[in-house]
Amino acid sequence: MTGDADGDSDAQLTRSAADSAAFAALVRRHSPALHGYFVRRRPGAADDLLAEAWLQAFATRRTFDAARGSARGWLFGVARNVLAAHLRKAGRDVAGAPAPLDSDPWEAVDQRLDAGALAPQLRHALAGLPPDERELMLLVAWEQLTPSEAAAVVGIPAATARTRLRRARGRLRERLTPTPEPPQYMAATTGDLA
Amino acid sequence: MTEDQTYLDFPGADALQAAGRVAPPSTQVLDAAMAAVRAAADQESARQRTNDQPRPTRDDLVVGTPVAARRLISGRRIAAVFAMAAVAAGLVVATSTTATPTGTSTAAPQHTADNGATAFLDGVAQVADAQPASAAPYWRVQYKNVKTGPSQRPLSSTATVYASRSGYMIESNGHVYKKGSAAAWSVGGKLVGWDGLDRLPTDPATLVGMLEAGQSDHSGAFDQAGTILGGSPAGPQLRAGLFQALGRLPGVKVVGTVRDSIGRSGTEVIYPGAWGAEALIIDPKTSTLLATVWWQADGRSDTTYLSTGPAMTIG
Repeated sequence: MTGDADGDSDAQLTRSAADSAAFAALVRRHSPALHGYFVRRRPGAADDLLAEAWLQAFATRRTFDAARGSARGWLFGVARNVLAAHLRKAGRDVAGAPAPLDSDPWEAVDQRLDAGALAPQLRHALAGLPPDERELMLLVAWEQLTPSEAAAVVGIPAATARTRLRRARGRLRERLTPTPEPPQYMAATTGDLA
Repeated sequence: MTEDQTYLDFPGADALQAAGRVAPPSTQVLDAAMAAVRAAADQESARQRTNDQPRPTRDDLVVGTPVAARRLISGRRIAAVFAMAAVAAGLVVATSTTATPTGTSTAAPQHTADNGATAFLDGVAQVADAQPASAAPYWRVQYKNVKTGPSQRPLSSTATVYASRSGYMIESNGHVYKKGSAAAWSVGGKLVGWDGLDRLPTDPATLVGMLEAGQSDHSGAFDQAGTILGGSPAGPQLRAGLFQALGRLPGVKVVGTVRDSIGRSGTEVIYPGAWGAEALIIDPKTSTLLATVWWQADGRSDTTYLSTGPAMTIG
């Protein structure tokens, strides 16, 4: 876990509402994590998306409420919105057309897993997860967010996020746990029937 | 085992985590992000000094989602921020010209001091509310996009979209693109399909709240309402509610009568967003959204809705 256990970022983000200079410390501290988030999902646009996310975060910094969540979770929420907007825009063949309903970055994520030589079974298991469960799982596995932070990022209650994460873990276990070899008598029975 | 680790207790979790490892960003990337924020901070400071715009308050801002999500992005927008910072700091003197009746100026129009937007849009809402509802399986929108810059010839494209409740098809310049996924429109931080539009509330105050959820200023709500009104199968009551909602967004102004890119007369309503102005050209007699116009740092973009309405078949 690399969250802000000390709350420094929460305080800096709160203070930056009146003192914009305090925001610079947040940029230095969280840029690597936010850049990683974009690289994993849209590698070709990550540099621009990082700057875009910081502009959004700066413009909306006064909405941060430390009582409702961590600065880290809030910043990833901004990043997620920036990414979603980028994907929606990229998904349009023609400007003005409606966006596809599923602006899911799975294709880029899957390419990343493929490049990482992740076992095909794991890729297929992840591909088979509902997008909302998969997104939460990747926020925890890759961004090292807590379930509460991941919940804040996608805008759902923490309890709902935990339920979805448990469900996702169950599905992954079910699909990834090696199936034992069939006993000999089963093979023989199958052979007889065939 | 921490709580997070309990959710990563499945075969292959280590490999999954390893696949997520990336190199840190370069110094140049970090410097660019920092420079963008500093420019935005300078811009804000200059605004406060000159007091030419009220400082945003919590009431004005809700948790951040992309401003003008479908328009400026990344590098172009950062460049715009730099340019705006320079203007705000008094380094550059820019002049704006009023929109011409033909609607071809590349500079955003000055806003009229008289804000009759609420009354005008409430009137349009009454007209919209009286329109017949449709039960047709498709919604057809034909539109033309024109991008005009100060030093380039206009780029134009025309397309026809057929949306159904389960997918949509785009025909553009002789090519047909079928989309398996359902068409969707942004409402606040969410995407809403055709069925979702039918379920949206029609009360303007509620709609404003939904459209502004996750938006950093009112331009997001203005943009989303315009997109739904221009190209979606929203029913008469929702369209009426959206027109009323537009009239309740602070900063929305009525410019006056203009002509769209194909010469149709309509009333222009504008929102002067932080990153550029966006306008809707509305025919008040029919409540039809004729066009949207977006003024950016590098020119203007027009989306002119040539025809919009229900369709029983594709083609």
